[in-house]
Amino acid sequence: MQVFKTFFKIAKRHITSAIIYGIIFVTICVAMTKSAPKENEANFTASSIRICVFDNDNTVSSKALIKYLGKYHELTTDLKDVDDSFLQDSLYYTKFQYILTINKGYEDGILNSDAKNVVSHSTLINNMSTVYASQQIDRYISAVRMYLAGGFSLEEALDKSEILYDSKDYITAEDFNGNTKDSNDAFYFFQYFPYIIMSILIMCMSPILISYNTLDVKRRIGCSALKSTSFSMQLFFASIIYSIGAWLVFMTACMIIFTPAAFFTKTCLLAVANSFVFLLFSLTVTLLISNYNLKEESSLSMISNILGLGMAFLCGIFVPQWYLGEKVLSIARFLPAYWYIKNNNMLAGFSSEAMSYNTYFTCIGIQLMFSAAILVIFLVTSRRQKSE
Amino acid sequence: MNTEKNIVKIENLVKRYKELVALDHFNLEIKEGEIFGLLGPNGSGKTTTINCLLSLLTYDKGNIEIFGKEMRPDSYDLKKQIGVVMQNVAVFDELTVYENIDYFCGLYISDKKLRAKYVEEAIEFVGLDDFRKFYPKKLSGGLLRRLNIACGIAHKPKLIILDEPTVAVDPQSRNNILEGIVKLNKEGATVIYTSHYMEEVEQICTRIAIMDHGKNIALGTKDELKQMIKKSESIHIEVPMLSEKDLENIKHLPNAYQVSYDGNNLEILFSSGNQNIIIVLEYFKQNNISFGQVYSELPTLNDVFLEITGKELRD
Repeated sequence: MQVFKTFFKIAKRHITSAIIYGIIFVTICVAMTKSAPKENEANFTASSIRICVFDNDNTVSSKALIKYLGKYHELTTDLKDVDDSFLQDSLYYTKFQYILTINKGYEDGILNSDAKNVVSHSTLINNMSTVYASQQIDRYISAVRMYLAGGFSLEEALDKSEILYDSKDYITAEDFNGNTKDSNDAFYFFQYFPYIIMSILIMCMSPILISYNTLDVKRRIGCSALKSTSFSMQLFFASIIYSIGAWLVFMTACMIIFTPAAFFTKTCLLAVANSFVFLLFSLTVTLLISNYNLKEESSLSMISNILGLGMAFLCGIFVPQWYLGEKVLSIARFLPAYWYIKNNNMLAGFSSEAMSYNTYFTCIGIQLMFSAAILVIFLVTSRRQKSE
Repeated sequence: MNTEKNIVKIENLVKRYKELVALDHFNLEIKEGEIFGLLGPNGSGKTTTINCLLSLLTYDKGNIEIFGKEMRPDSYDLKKQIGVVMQNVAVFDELTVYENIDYFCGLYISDKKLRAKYVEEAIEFVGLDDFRKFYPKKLSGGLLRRLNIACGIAHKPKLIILDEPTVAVDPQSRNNILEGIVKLNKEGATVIYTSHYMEEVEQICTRIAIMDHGKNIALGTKDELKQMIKKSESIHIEVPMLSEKDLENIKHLPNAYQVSYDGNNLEILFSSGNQNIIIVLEYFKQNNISFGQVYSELPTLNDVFLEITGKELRD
């Protein structure tokens, strides 16, 4: 266990920089968390507008949607056989601010978990009120789907979704996934976690691994009586323990800052599991980087910035995914942080995507595949370096 | 000290780096108790030989045996008995002198008590007792080299391989290192010492192999090697005036085979004989030739290398 023990002896020498990095990252993270826009809260600013509804589906579900909207807005539902110019004029003269068309197949779409294009709308301008109406409709549909996915019947799902927004307390204190305000803040913490953990591991764990990988030390170990498999395994396990240790520190910090009550909610624990999976990816990337004998700390800093900040900006860590262009998102899909953030957004209710275990585990699986791919590259490059 | 038991046996070793042949059918036998010197200019194949010997490099052809067994990358029982001191200092900057020696000794010795004893002995051996809590970056070049040696020999190996351990070391530290190597040998270790400093090799090695272009071009004790060449002595005399006739006569002195004169300095090479200087000075006296400084040089390993290869060891 000589290699394993020495790993932590060397880690002890780097502990000051690790603590400084940790404190800086947690401080920045908490500051950003506290100053982050609370979009969920903004969504519930009530405002009544004039909506013209065309129900082409004419089902229990479509009628329930109309009933739900009727509680908050002034609805016109009896217009039939009107031409486009009439509707355009109505919008122009603000007779209606929002024209909603419930498309044929609305109910089937909801039942089959295919809620895309089940409704369409027209507005003259996009202002706060019309955007609010669109979000309200999206959220209602997501809520119905969520209840259906939870095993409720259609009638029950429609009733519960309607009630979901009836209670003022419920609206202001919790979101769809049952997150309290504190746990919502914790999700912002998780949002920044990929950047933090990747930077910490690259900046603090890589130098330890590089100490073992300097050519001369490697050769001296290579001609010693220590089996090469034993050396690799000891180093690998030490890296895992170091990474898990760093992850636990951040999780504990998260729990203390955002209260244990918020931390130990079901969705928050799912976010914890999500962060653990991303940790595995960060670990494999760090192992791969350490394979290359980067002597200068500035090289590590550069790699850390390129990877950490690159992922942060491309994958929606600093800028929410829904503000990113489709091209950027297409690129981001090739990065594990995208799938991590997608999961986090879903769990936190930041996105309009309803909670689905299917989606959750798909994102987890994709992250694991990225880790496995990097691990394979690491093993291949290690073997190649050994033979050279 | 020398016995007939082979510790290292290298047969027909060939190592190629693409087009370059680094070792060309290289053969070597090293006996127990020897301080064996591998001498050669930079790029002659010394380090490649050591790396092949330690299975750090694969080779294209040949056979290597250590302690009578085939040396392979997984020959951990053999590796246990070998200590290596590499050309470059290979230690952890984050560990103290004591921790570094303990770490590398721990790769061979798992018993904690025994290891602690060995580490203490190694520290004492290289004279780093006052620096045990120092980090490598705080050590001078000479002390760092001593630490490098301590890390390689702490586990008391039977075979110690030192690959140019005195590169960039001050003369005092160099002497300490060389004395240490002789001491290790006296304690029973067989030593392989590679260097391109012929003086060091001459000073400590019992047998020497001279390498060039991956080949073993000469092998023997230093006296045996020197006997291989024509030159046995060179005499240098400061002579301000020397006639053509005298120069011709000097060329025909007994055992003289080469004479050169640049108008002030005369150099005479002799192939044998041990009274050459007296003969030369007798001639000067008889012919009233005035002269200044006189000194005589015995052949060095550089002369051996020069005569065999036509170039200097440090070219």
